[in-house]
Formats: sequence, C-alpha cells, structure tokens
Amino acid sequence: MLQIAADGLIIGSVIALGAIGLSVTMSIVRFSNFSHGELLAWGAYLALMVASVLSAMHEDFATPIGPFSFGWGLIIATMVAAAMTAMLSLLLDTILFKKVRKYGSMTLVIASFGAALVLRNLLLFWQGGVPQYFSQNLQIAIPLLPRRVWGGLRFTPDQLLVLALTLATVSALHLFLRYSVLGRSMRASAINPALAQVTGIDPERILRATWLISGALAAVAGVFAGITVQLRPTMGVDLLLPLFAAVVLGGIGSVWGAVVGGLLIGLAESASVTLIGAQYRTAAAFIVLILILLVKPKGLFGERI
Amino acid sequence: MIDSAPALAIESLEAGYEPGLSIVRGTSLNVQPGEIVAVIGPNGAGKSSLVKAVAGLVPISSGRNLLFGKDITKTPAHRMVFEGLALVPQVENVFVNLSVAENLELAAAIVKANRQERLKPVYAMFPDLYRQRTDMAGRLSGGQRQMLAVARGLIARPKLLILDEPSAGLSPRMTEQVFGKLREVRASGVTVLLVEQNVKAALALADRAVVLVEGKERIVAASSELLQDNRVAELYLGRYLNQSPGRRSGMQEQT
Repeated sequence: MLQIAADGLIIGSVIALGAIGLSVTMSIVRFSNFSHGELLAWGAYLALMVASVLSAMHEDFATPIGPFSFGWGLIIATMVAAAMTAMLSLLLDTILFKKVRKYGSMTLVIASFGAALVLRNLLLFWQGGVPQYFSQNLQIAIPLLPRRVWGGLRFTPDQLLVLALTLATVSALHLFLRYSVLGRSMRASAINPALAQVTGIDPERILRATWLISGALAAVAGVFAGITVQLRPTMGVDLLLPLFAAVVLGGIGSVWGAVVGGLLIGLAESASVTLIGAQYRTAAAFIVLILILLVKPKGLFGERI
Repeated sequence: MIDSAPALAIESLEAGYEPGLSIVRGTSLNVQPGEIVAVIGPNGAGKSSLVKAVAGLVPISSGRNLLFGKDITKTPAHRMVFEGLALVPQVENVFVNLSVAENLELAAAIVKANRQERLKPVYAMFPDLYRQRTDMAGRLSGGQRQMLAVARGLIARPKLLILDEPSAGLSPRMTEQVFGKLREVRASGVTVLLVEQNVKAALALADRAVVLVEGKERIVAASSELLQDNRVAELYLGRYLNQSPGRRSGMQEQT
C-alpha cells in the first residue's frame, strides 16, 4: 500500500515538474502547447549528451556520488541541458509561435502539433529508437519501513533525490513567482494582460521569461524521468497526456495545482499498475481527472498562478 | 516637454479594433495642465475606445496624440507609464491574484522607483488601503477596488491620469468618495481625464466636458454650462442628434 503511494510520488514528481511549465505557458501565452512533452525528451537527451562529453573529458565526472547511480557530470549536464532546452523553447517561439500568434490560439495549437512532430523525429534521427540510460550502475532500494508495516516501503537513493529536488525546484519557483518583480509581473500578466501593459509590464519580456522557465523545467523533468525510468525519443509524447491531465486537474495557471495534479495522476497510475494492470494506467489517470472535474470544474486550484 | 503645450492634445484621431472599422472617428480634444476633463456621451459613443487608443490599447489608424507636446501616438501601451500617462481601466482594473500591497509594490517596481517612497504618500491618501494591504485585491468591494486602481495608477507619479468610468457599479456614496479622491489627485498637480456615464457626477467634478457622439466630439464646454443645458439630457435620449446644427447654439460645437 505504502509502496504504491511511494511509486506514485516518483512518477508524479516528474509529471508535476513538466506540468508546471505547461500550466504557466497555458495561462500566460494562452494556448495548449502540444510540443511541451518533446522539450522533456530533448532536455533529457541534451543532458545525456553533455554528461557523455564530460565523462569522456575526465572519468571522475562519471564516478557515482555516494549512494547515487550518477556522478557530478550528470548534475552539471542537467544545468547545461536546462539552459539549452530553455533556449530551444525560446527559439520555437521566435521562429514559429510568435509569427502565428496573431491568428489565435487554435492556430498556435496546430502549430505546436507540427513542432512536436518535427522535434520528436529529429530526436529519433539523432539518437535512434533504442532506450538509453544515464548510468549502467544498478541501485538497490533501501528499505525505509519493514514489510509488516502496510506492506513496507523501499526507495532507491536516486528516487529520494528526485523527490527532494522536485520539492526544492517547486519551492524555488514558488518564491520566484511570489516575491520577485519578474515573477509578480508574470502572475499579473497571467490574470490580466491588458492591465499588466498599462502598469508598464512589457508583454514580450513576460513571454520570453515564460518560454525560458517552462523549457528549463521541462529539461529537469526529462532528466528525472531518465534517471527513474529510461530515455526514449518518444518519452515526451508518452508523458504529454499525463501532463495535460495534471494541469487540468490542478487548475490551469496554478503552480501548486500542477504539483498536486501531477502527484495525483502519478498516484492513480501507480495504483492502477498494481491493482488492475499496467495497460490501464493512463485510463486510470483520466478517470481520476474526470471525477475531480465533475466536482471542481475549474480544477483543484483553478485560475491562479 | 513644451511648457505651454496642453497636457494632452488629441488630433483628428481615428481608431478601432478592426482595420477599416473605426470606433473613434476623427476626434480632436485638448486637455490643459491641471484640468479635470470629462468625456461623456451615450452608450457606444466610443468614449472607452478613445481613452484606450490614447493609452495604446486600441490600434490607431490616423491622427496623433501629444502628451505635453511629445508625440505618443506610436508609443506601446507598456511604455505609456514611463511617458507620464497612467490609465485606470473600467473593469478588471486590479490584479485580483495579488494582495493590495503587491498591486502597489509591483507598480512601483516596474518604474524602478523606491518602494517606500512611492507607497507612503499613496497610503496617506488612501488609508483604507494601508489597513487592507495584506488582503487579496480580488476580495475587495467595488469601491475599494476602484480606490486601489486609482492608487496603482498614481504610484508611477503620472502627469496625466486617465480613468475609464470610475463610478461604474458604485453606490452614489462610494462614487462621491472616489470623486473626492480625484479632486485630491488634481490638487496634487496631476491632470485628470475621465470617461463617465454618470453625467451629473462627472460634470460636478470636471472643469470642462466633451460630449462624444458616434466616435466624434460634438460639444466641448465648461461643465457648469453643460449642467444647465437640457440638450445633454436630450442627447442621452437621442433627440439632440436629430436637430439641425443651427439650433444648437451657445456652446462651442464641433462637427
């Protein structure tokens, strides 16, 4: 029982990080970006590339840190990949979304479908379809609770780190949005773009910040997905529906909503794998989504950022 | 800045949301420094569109706007506050997801001003806002929101404050409170241009008024003159428009 919840938290933390970026984009840029999942995949593979280069430069970068399966190389690579994915996200806006923005949100959605296809196939062309791993080192799960206590609880050190880093990233983003001028400007633009403009907030600056932040968060989520599962060029499209489910469940525009939504979707997927079979995991997540929307149509924390 | 220039000069302005569909149709208007000028007129006259066009929120197809002699026709909406023009929109004029203090602090931070230096005089003018500074703006009453909206506009220390129907949805008592604050704003040296549906209250507040009909100014006169004139009431009933220009004498008329 506890293990199902723990596995759900791990899946959910990856979904939550990806969903935050998607949610912020939906509330500020005002369209559903179907290419967001591909940014997770690109972020993960860019981190793999940088980590490989660092390991080739010096073997210490690949030496595992303490109980974890990866070395400092992956940590540095994650930061570099976050910056690169942020730039990729901004590049997508500059060469595509910005040019079609005047035609409305439906055009943007269709454009994002096209962008997703291009990004996914470029990744397949570059990396091939064979799954890859950040590390070949095997990890043994640490028993935190014995079996007699609700079936026991085991985590690998990597999983615990992913949980801690997700919490740290979300907290940092919360503080940024709550207290920084740019963060408050983003919240203001999300709720009332016209008033934001007459207050002196440059809408283009807010859009650029939104793309950069959502891209960076997508990369971190992609790396976490790679650490806890594996890297596949289709990992973005596989995560896309859970990401949207988390955003809608939490309420579009709410950071904490995306986190809670992501964790709930993760828990639903984890429970369905154990209780009714892995083939129903996505269906289970959407049943949870439908049930909650029937009670709260705007999601759990609707229309807040 | 040109010292003798009007605070705002609107010259033959044409503006509208869709290309070829002007809502503001060749309006001209001067607002002198230190004045309160009201723009009145029937529903659909283009009053809100006029001030939004001046503030950069509605596309302008021809004509120009000068703020203290400086051409601001092509200035983007987000740069207006740096030119000295602040707009208080009619509805949704506060950030409901921010607290009262956050609304004001954000406005100060955007213009890179010292937060305390800007907030102190504003809180002194609006003591209720100081008491409610930790409340979310979305929880304020209509009148309190309007006060916050005016306060937010003043944080940037504008030379011209434009308000779009500040009495909309307010009780007569609350309207009088808001308009009382506008008198204080003017006394502090800020020029005020307001759009109003509440003609009586607007004319009681303003030095001059402009009657806008179908996107064009029809009468420009001192408020005291317009208060005595039955034709303003008739205008709202649609009769004035059907009269011949020769019968509309007395005040400065513009066609």
